[in-house]
Amino acid sequence: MTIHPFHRRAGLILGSALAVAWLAALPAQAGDKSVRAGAATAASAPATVKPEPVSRLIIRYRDGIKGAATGTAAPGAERAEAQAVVSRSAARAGALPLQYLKSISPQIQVVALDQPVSAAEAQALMQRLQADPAVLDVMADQRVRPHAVPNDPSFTNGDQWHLRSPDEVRGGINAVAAWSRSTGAGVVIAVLDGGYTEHADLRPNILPGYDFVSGDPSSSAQARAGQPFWTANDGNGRDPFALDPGDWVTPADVAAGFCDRAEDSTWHGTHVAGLAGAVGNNNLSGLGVAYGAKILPVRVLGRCGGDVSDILAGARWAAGLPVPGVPANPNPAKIIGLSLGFDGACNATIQSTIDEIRATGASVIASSGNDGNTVISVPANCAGVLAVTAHTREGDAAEYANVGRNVRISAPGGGFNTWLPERPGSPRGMVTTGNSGMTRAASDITSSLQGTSMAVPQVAGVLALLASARPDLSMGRLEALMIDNARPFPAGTYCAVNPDGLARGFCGSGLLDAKAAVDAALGLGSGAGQGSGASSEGGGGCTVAPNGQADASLLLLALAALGLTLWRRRR
Amino acid sequence: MLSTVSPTRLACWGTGFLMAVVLAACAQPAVSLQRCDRLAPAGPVQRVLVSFREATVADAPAVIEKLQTLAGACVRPVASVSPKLHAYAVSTTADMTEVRARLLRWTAVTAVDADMTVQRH
Repeated sequence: MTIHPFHRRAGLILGSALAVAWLAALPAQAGDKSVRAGAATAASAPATVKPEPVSRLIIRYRDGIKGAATGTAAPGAERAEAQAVVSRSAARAGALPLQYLKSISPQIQVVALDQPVSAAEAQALMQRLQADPAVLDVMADQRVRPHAVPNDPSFTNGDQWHLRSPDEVRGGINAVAAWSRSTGAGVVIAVLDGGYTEHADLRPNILPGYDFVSGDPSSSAQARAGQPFWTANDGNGRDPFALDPGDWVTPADVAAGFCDRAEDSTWHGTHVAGLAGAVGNNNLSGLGVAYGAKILPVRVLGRCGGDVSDILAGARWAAGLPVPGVPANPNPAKIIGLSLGFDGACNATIQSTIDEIRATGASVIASSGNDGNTVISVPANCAGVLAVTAHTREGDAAEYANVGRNVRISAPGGGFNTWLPERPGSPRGMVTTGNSGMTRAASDITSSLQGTSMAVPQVAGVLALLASARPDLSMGRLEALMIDNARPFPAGTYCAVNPDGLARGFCGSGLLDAKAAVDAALGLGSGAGQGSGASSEGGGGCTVAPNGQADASLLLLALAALGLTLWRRRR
Repeated sequence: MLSTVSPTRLACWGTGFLMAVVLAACAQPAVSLQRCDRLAPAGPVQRVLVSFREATVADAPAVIEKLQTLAGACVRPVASVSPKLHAYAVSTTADMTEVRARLLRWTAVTAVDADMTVQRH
C-alpha cells in the first residue's frame, strides 16, 4: 500500500493542526498557565477509565525556535537549539532528562521522558516545568484512539442497529461514542420482567435477583384445577430464584379459562435484560447499552402476565425497600425498568409506592404501551415515572407505540413506521439475547423482538452510563440531562408532523442520544445539580476525554487550523 | 393392664399430644377457612390490594376475620407488597365495587384497589 504524497503531507499538517488546536484551546494569556494531564486533571473523568502512563510531553514556549515548524524534528542547528531549550527547562525544573523529539510549531515542542511515569507523577513534573518563565503550557502527549467499536457479531453485522450513530442509522441511540467515556460500570439496573435465562452473553452481568410471582389464590380457576402455581410455573410462589421457567400457554390452558390466548414462551425478560446490559466485547451475540452495568433480575411476570401487587413488591425490593417475608436486597438498584403495564389510571396506591421508590433516589422507567393509541399505560402514566415510547430505525414513531402527554422520551423499539416509508431490506427488530425453547428454556440464541418494552432498557442503559460517569449527580438530574439532550424528531416523522394535533411533547423530548447525554453530563461542573450548566473545564471550550480522545470541538478547531495552514501555504 | 403400657409408649403419646397442640396452634388460619365454607357460595376470585393505615400482618386471624365479615365473602391473603399494603383474594359473586366499598368501612383501611393483571409490552 502506498500513500499519496499529498495525503501524507495533509496528514502531517492535520496532525500538527490537531496539536496546535489542542494547545490553542488552553488559556492563551501569557500569565495564565495551565497544566493538563488528561484523566489526571479532568474533573469530568469517569471512574471507569484508568489513566494511562505518560511517556511524552508537549511544551509550549513563550519564544519560538527558528525553522522548527515542519511537523517533524527540526534539522541540524535548529534541532540542537531545541534540545538545548528543552534541557534548560528540565534543569530548572529539577526534572529527569528530557529528549527533544519534534516540533509542532516554532513554540511547541514534543519531548520524551526517559521512562513512562504515572499520571500523578506526570502532573507533578508538569507543574515543575510550568515554573519556568519561558514555558507557557505543558500537557501530556496522550495517545488518541478511535472510538471503541465492540466486536460482538450482532453489533458488527448491523443487526443491533439501535446502538449506531444517527449518521449510520437515523433512529440509533449513538451509543458507540458514549462508550469511550462510560459503560455503566458500578451501576445496578433492575429489570422487572419474566426473569432471565442463563444466556452466556448475559450471565456474567447478572446479580442474584428474586422471584416475586406469587401462587395463584387457592380459590382461583388454576388452583381448583390442581395447578396452584400455574402463573409462576416454577412450582412455588415467591422465592430467591429469578430464572425464567418459561411462560407458554397451551390451548388447553385457554379452554380452562387460565388465559385468553395460547403462545410459546417469550423469554421477554432475557431479551429486555440483554438490551440493557448484555456483555460487550466478548465476540458473542450482541451487547447491551450499558454493558459495564449489572442487571438485577426481578421476576414479576409469569404465564399470562402478572399482578400489580407482585410488581409493586418487586419494585420496592429492587430499590432496597422492605417487603414482608422477603430478605433485604443486598444490591439496591439506581434504575428500575418496567417493560409492562395495563390500561387504566394510576391510583393512589400505585402512586404512593412509586413515590416511596423515588424517595430512595432511584429512577423508575416504564413503557407507554403497544396499542398504537394516545393512552399511556399504568405505571408509565404515574407521576415520577419516566414514560418511554418507541421509534423505528428511521426515527419515526413505531406504528404500535402509544404516545401521549406523559411520554418523556423515545427510544428504539423496532417495527414499522407510522408515517415514513421503510427502507427495504434493513433489519427492523430489536436484536439481543434470547432462547430457542418453545416451552422450557433450551439453547441460547440471539432473538429479535419489537415493542415499547424494548425501548425501556435502552433508556435504562443510558441512565446507567450517566450514573456511572457522574455518580455525584442525582438520578433526577441525570434524567433531565438525558431528556434535554434528546435529538429532535426527524422531519416528516409522525412525532415531528403531529398529524393528530396532540399537545406539544406528546412523543417526549425527542430521540434518545447516549453520546449527547454523556457529553452533557461530563461537561457539567460541580454546580450541575443546581442546573448551572457551567463547565468544570473552566470554559476553555475544548474538553479532552479521559483516555486522551479529542472531542468534536477539538476536531473543529483542528480543521480550522488546517484550513488556515493550507491557505497560508498557498500564499 | 397398666403394666403393659411402657414408659416409652407414654412418652410417644405425650409427644404426639404436644405435636397436635402445636399443629392446632399453627393452623389458626383454618378458622378462617372454615368460615369461608360458611360464607359460600364462593364466586369467581378477585384480587384486591388493601392499603392499611398502619403496618399490619397480612394473614393475622383477626385481620382476615374482619375483612371477611366486612366483605361477606371468603378473603385469603395472597401476597404482601409492604408492611402496610397487602394483596387478598376475594371469592364472591357480589359486585366488587360494592365489596371494596364495604372493606373501606374499616377505619384501619385507607384504600382498596383491584389488583390488576399486568401484561408485558
